Amino acid sequence: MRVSIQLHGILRDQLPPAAKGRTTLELPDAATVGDVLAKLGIERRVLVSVNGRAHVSSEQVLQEGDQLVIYTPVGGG
Amino acid sequence: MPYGYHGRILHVDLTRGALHIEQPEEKFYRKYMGGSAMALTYLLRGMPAGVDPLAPENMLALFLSVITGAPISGQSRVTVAAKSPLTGCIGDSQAGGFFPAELKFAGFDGIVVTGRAPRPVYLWLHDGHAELRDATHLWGRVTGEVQAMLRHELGDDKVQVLQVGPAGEKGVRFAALINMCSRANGRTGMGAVMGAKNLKAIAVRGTQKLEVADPAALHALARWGAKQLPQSDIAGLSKYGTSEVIGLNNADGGLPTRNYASGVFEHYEALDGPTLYETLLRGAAQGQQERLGRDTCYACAVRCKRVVEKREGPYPLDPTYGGPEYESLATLGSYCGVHDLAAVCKANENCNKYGLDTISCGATIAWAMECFENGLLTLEDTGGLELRFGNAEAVVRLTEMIGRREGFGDLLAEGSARAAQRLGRGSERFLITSKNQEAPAHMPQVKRTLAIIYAANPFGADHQSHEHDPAYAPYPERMAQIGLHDPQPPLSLNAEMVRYALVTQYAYSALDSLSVCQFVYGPAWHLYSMNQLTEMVRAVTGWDVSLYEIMKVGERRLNMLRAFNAREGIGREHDTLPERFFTRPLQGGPSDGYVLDREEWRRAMDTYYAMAGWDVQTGIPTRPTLEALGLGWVADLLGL
Ligand code: SF4
Repeated sequence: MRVSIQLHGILRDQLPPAAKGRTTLELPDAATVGDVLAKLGIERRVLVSVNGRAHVSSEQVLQEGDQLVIYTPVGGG
Repeated sequence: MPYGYHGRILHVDLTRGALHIEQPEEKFYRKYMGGSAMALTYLLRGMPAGVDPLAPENMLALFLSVITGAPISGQSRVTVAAKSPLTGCIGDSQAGGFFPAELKFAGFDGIVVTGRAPRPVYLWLHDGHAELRDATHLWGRVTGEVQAMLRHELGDDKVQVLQVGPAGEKGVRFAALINMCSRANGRTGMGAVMGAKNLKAIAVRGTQKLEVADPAALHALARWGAKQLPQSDIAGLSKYGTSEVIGLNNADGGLPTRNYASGVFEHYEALDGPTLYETLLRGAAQGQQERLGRDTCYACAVRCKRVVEKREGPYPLDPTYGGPEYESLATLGSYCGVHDLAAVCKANENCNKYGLDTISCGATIAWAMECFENGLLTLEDTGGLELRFGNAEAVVRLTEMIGRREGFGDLLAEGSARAAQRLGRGSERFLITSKNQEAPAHMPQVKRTLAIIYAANPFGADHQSHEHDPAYAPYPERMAQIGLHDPQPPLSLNAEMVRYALVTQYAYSALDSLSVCQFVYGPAWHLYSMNQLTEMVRAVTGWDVSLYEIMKVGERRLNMLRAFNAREGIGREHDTLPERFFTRPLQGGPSDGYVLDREEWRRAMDTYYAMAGWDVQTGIPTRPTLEALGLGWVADLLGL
């Protein structure tokens, strides 16, 4: 299945600048949010929303066409 | 000779032109440590209740802390406190830069200003000496000019200048104090208080070496921090500045858009940290922004400050005035529906030039825009400005007009709450204020404990007074240091989340008392943990200090702020939220439909006061609570 990914803040640096934090991933069935983080090489503490539902857990199983937004929990500013 | 501080506090009576130095005992420093905890000991004792904030009787206190100026990241900050002309409550605001450390090197731990000078003056502090000098020639000038003139006149480019701009002179109720032309003690209108005193600026230069108790331990901590930085959770903040929070909050559905109608902005990417980094940071065109477009505070390895530059186009940008923070991008940007990044940077520049708080300024303009959109303001009222959401040019124009109190800007210079009162026409329903202060760009509908803190915070809605909800779960080891072990699901506002709000509020209050940067030290994603903060204070002061003691300083400060308000007759009935937070669900994105439940919030507030040891009906600290903090003298002042 394919899922689309949007990375924010420093996580964008995982991808080339021209990607502006956007990519799609091909994953085996029943892949989880945690698998996506591993595949992207993200080791930081992050927050993930799937299809607009914020703060999903890394065990969440994904479906074809899911849209993931991945960002860090920095609070102030 | 103490370590970390001088034991010297300067008192300035502007009415008489008299200066003297007080030398408090060590136990005063240990009990209050710095910031507004120290400032409040003077404001509570030295001022009666009911003073007009713009009258000579108001006191203005500027305090560093026992560790300001030590060679480690995140310690160069100054707190300013006075009665606020915006809220009528205690005013309190922090800023970083090089001024705070320089003030310490000049030989002072704090400054207490009373009275009003018969004509404009500035205070010149250098190597233990203090003098008042004529500032007639500086009056009416913008911050960039004044800084350059003072450096020239004092013959030293290293002089640091903290000043009020034209906005402070003209009593704009959300006027800021500005140092380095780019760092603001922004909130609560402290610039208007200093301007009303005819005190244009404080110029400092110092070469006194600061003695620290254990240089080796301090050096080890500083090295650990610098090494850790790239892997740390503030790596993004370091590279992209707080402007990265645009993307983060938008992803959470928490980026206030069009006067808090929505938590997502369709054009957020135009304002986001990476966009700023790649386009307008100084040197970006040559790929040199790492070197030229990032700035710092004294001895800070994080270098999160932005410097923008643009030579052509309708909005040329002068690097003298730095660059925007997240709050400025959001309030002057999405809050107003504006996505022209250069225009938002220009509006931010104007705020630094005239000396305005960007948060209140942007939010007040957003309120006026919603009034205009709904026909409560007309072109006649605005002097021909089409005040529609998204009108970037109008935002830029208004920052100047407010700074000069010119035309329609004169009404907005009163802040949105007073402007609504004057305007009438039902315009109060569009206010996003608590205690007359405009809410910052973090949304209580999305991060629910903000609903407690925005309401209860003694100096009005504030986003830097506790830890936000999403940080509870990801940082179990650090939260455990302050006794928090039980994160709750998102959107909870139960007793555990109230406890989280209060305990992290004590922690943040301690950070503000120690006048440290809340990006560098804190209970969650910060570079250093609360235990490491304790190690740092031990290394600098040589005191055998504990985290318990530091948290108690935070609790003490919060109770003193609350007591100041109590004396002004301000208590629980003033701890309110904008009505629309309860009545208007957010539209669109992950937070679509989010709205606060009034009954749940009221119960949470009951729990909050009870946990804090304050009277649940009045919200006022009780005598036993104050005495438990060694503040029996405050209970006496309140007649409890
Ligand atoms: S983290 Fe940023 S704001 Fe804080 S002290 Fe360092 S440079 Fe200044």
